[in-house]
Amino acid sequence: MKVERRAVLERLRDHLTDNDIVVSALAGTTADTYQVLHRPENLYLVGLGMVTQVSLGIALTLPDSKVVSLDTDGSLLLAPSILAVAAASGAENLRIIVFDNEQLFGSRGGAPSQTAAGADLTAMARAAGIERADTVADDGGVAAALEWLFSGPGPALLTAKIALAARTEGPSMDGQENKYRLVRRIEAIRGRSILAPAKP
Amino acid sequence: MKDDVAAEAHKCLTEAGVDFVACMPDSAFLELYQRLEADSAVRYLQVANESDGVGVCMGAWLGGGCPAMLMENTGFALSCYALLRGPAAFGVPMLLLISYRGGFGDQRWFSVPFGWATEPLLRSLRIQYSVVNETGDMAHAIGGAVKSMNAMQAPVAVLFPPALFSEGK
Repeated sequence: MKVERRAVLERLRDHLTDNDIVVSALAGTTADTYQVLHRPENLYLVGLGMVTQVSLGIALTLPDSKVVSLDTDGSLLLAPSILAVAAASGAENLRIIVFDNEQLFGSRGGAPSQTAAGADLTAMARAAGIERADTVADDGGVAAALEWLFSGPGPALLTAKIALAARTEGPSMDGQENKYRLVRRIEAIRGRSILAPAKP
Repeated sequence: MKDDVAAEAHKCLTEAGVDFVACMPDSAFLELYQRLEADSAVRYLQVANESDGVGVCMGAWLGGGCPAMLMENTGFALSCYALLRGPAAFGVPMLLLISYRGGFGDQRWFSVPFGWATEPLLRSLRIQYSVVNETGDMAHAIGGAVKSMNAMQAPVAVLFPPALFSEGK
C-alpha cells in the first residue's frame, strides 16, 4: 500500500520543535500540510522549482533550527540542480521530503511525471552528492523512514512514493501575510529584528 | 571586473549590510565573487543556475540574512520565473547585482539580445534598478538599493555595464 501524504505529515510533527521551519510546495502539499500540521513556522504555497531552494536559504541563515522542505516530484524535476547545491552547501539542518505521486497536479488528475517512467529522485540526490537519501514506498515504513531522516545530519532526502489523494482546503492567507507571520516568528527565534522599522 | 571596481563593490556591499551572497559565477564578476568568497563575514554560496539563486536568496532573507544575488544578465533572463513566483509574490527583498552583457560597447554578438532585453525586463517585473557607470556611483547605487529593497519588500537591481569589466572579459 502506497504512502499517504497525511500519514507522513502527522508523524513529522513528532520530529519538530517550535524553532523548526517547514517550507511547503503548492497545491495538495500545502493543503494537507495546512490541515494536518499547521503551525506559525510554516511557509505555504511555494512555487514549483523553488521549495528546496527557499528551504536551503533559510537553513543557511538559521543554523540552529531544522528546516524541512516538503517538495514534490514535479517541482524537483523542474530544478534538480538544487540537489547538487544543497549537497555542496553542507547544510546539516536541511531535510528534504519529496512527495512523489508520479503525476503532475495529481490531485486533479494531471499527466504522469517522469518518475512514473522510472526517474528515481533518491538516486538523483545520491548522484548529486546527498549521501543520506532513501525512499519509502509503503505506509508501514513511514515511522522508521522519518526516524532515519532525523537521526543523522543533513542535507538528507526522503522520497515518499505517495498515493493520489483528493485536494483539501488550504490556508486563506496569501503569501505576503504568510511571510510576515513567519518572519515575526523567526525574529523571535533569532532574538533580533529582521523587518526594519520605517524611518520617521 | 576591474580590481578597483571590485574592491569598491565589496566595500559598498559590506557597508550596506549584505551578509549572504548567492552567485552564479560570471567572468565579468570574477574579481568580485573571489573577494566575497574569501570574506568570512559573508555566507557565500555558489549556485548552479540563477533561478536556484533567487530561491535561495528568498530563504536567506526569511532566515534573517541580507541577501544579494550575483549574476550575468543572461541568467537574470533565466530567473524571471523565480523572481515573479518567489520574491514578487511573497514580497521578499533581495539585491540583484547584474553584469550588463550586451550593453553599450560590448562586441559579443550573442550578448547583444540580452542587452536589449535587460532594462525592459526589469521594468516589466516592476524591479527598480540603477546603472553604475563609474566607480564613484557605487556607494549610492548599492547603499540605496539595500535601503529601497527593505522599504519596498521587493528585489532591487544594480547593473554593471561593460566599461567596468576587466579588459578582455
